[in-house]
Amino acid sequence: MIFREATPEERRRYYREEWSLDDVPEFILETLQQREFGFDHRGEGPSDRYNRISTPAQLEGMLIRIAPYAAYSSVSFYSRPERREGWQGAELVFDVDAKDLPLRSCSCAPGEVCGTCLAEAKEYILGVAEVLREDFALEQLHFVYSGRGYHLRVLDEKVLGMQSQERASLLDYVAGGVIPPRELLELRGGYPRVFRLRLLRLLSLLSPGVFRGSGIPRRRVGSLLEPRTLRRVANELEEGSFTLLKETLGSRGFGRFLELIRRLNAEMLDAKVTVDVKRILRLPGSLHSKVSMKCVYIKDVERFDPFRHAVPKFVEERS
Amino acid sequence: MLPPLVSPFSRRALRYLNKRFSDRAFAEARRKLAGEVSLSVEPEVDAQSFFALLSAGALRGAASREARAAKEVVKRQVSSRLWLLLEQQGWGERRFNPEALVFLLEDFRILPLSGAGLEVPEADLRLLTALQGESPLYAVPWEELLPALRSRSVSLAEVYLSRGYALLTVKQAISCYAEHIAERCDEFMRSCSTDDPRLEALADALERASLAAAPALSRRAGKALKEECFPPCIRSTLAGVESGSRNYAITVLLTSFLSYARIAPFNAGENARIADFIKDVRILTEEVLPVIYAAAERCSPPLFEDQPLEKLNINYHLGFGLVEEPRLEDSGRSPWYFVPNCEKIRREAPSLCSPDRHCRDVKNPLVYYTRRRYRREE
Repeated sequence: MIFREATPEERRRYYREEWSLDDVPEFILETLQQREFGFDHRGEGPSDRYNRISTPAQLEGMLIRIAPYAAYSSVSFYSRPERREGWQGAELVFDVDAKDLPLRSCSCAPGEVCGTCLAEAKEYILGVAEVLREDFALEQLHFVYSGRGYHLRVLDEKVLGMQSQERASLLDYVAGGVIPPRELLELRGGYPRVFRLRLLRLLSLLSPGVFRGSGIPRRRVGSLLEPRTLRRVANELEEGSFTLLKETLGSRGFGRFLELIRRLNAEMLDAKVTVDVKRILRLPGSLHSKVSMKCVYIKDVERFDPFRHAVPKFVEERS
Repeated sequence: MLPPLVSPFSRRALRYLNKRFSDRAFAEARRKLAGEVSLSVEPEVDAQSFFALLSAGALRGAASREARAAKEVVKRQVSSRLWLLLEQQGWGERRFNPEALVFLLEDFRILPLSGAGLEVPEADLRLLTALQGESPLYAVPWEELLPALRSRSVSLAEVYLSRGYALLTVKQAISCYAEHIAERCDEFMRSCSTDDPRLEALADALERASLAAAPALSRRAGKALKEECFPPCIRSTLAGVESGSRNYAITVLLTSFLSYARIAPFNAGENARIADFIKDVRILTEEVLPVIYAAAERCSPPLFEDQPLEKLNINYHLGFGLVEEPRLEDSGRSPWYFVPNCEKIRREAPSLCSPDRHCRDVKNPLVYYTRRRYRREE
């Protein structure tokens, strides 16, 4: 029932009867006039772009009238959003999509999502937020359920003017997308800690198939994946030590393993979303028609459950 | 007595901006260009010599080689002055007080680590000190590193971050500050409009200095492609790519890599055009494009099958604009896109990047190729 595409009638019902301006977060309503709005009318992509919306009432009227397949607003601020000119800054965004997670503990087919992988996506984005708070002292973090994953939107003044290059560097840091210098691997804090956290998360999801093509001998992989060894490796990693991991994989295998982890880490977040300083992003409150779920601005992320808080009424009423 | 100027953008130096350059300022600018560093130059002459260098650099455009050379001179001067001043303050000796550097770095937020209130594990400090050869003495808000991140002189993964601060050694702090000043040089040169005729000669001197510093390789043309010297990401692309990364791998990565590797492997320079390097378009149409098309065919699904317009896009990325057939007379109608850096490839198409031992210390696939292709010959 859920995850089935919404019909035009269901979209109309959603915007007329269920959607409210209160579903749009303050941080968007306050900067409405500086953002570009985009609409996808037929499920073919947001081809209707370069829209400027002046007031919340105009946004309300427009969404009710056109009941779009998807609605987007820019993460960037412009002096002339209707021409995408006069760039003034952009939110820093991290996007994790449950369907694109490189390793999942569920048995979803590619492109599909379920409660398990959605929960894994949420746990991951919470981990990203923790690093942003602890290492970068960023405070204005906003979570949005995108319909099939999560957006983390950062609005601290210090990140708004950043260009793609710096955003990419920050992305690598929070994702664990580079291998720390070997000599620093065991530092308790700093980037090596982040890399270890990401590695610990992946450890329980590893299976022999993940190692295919990695160049690590099968015998070494087998030893590592023994439940007892995995547990001990995890315990050591929590203490900041790689000794057992190195012993189990051998020196060359260890290097290849770090490279494998780096690659998996880099695939966790959609890098294009983070580095694009002119991107449009699904509008919180709008309907993700392809899967019939609401894109929800999350006020209490710990308690948020997409199956309780992001399912439109028309889905519940589908027979 | 006031300390010497550290940078041309200190408040004291900026007092001398917009004054007519003296002959002494030009003479001092040439001394700076020659690498001389002096802490005893009269502040007005010192400041004006910096402005003269930057104004001369800007004469031929803020992105010209002269501008880059002027910026390098300023950066070197700033770093060298800071080191000299710190040595005077007892750097390397017990009596050295970290406040000395804090006092010298104007418009740059930096604190002695001891006063930042951070709780960094002792073990981490010991390890950092052992590996860097000096202890991290400073805490700098991470956003002060943005210029250094933009210039790629630092990566966030290489510095120790805690509660919004980066822990830096003296060396790292000076390097980050120099990048901060380099960005101010860029801003200055973008907005500068001085019409002193004496600047032409100084611009010529900057050009000569930059050419002398350029590696001899930069003037060597490319030779026939050797596939065995290709980096792993290019070999993966040639084998065909899955849907999702196809367009990036073929149109952006492979097109730029093969064209530069064959036509202009060494420092092609900004605004390069293919027509500047070859006189016969068949080098492109017979040696480069067939390899790109064959790789596109091996993609899953074959790239041109569902996206035939990508062929035009490839020509666009080669600098010919959106044309069906590349002709040298069209070269320059669009930018000739340079080979993306490894970092960017890892972000856009992580599955393509499986580094081998030659990838160590390489930041761009073209460097991997030129090192292997041309070192083999030498």
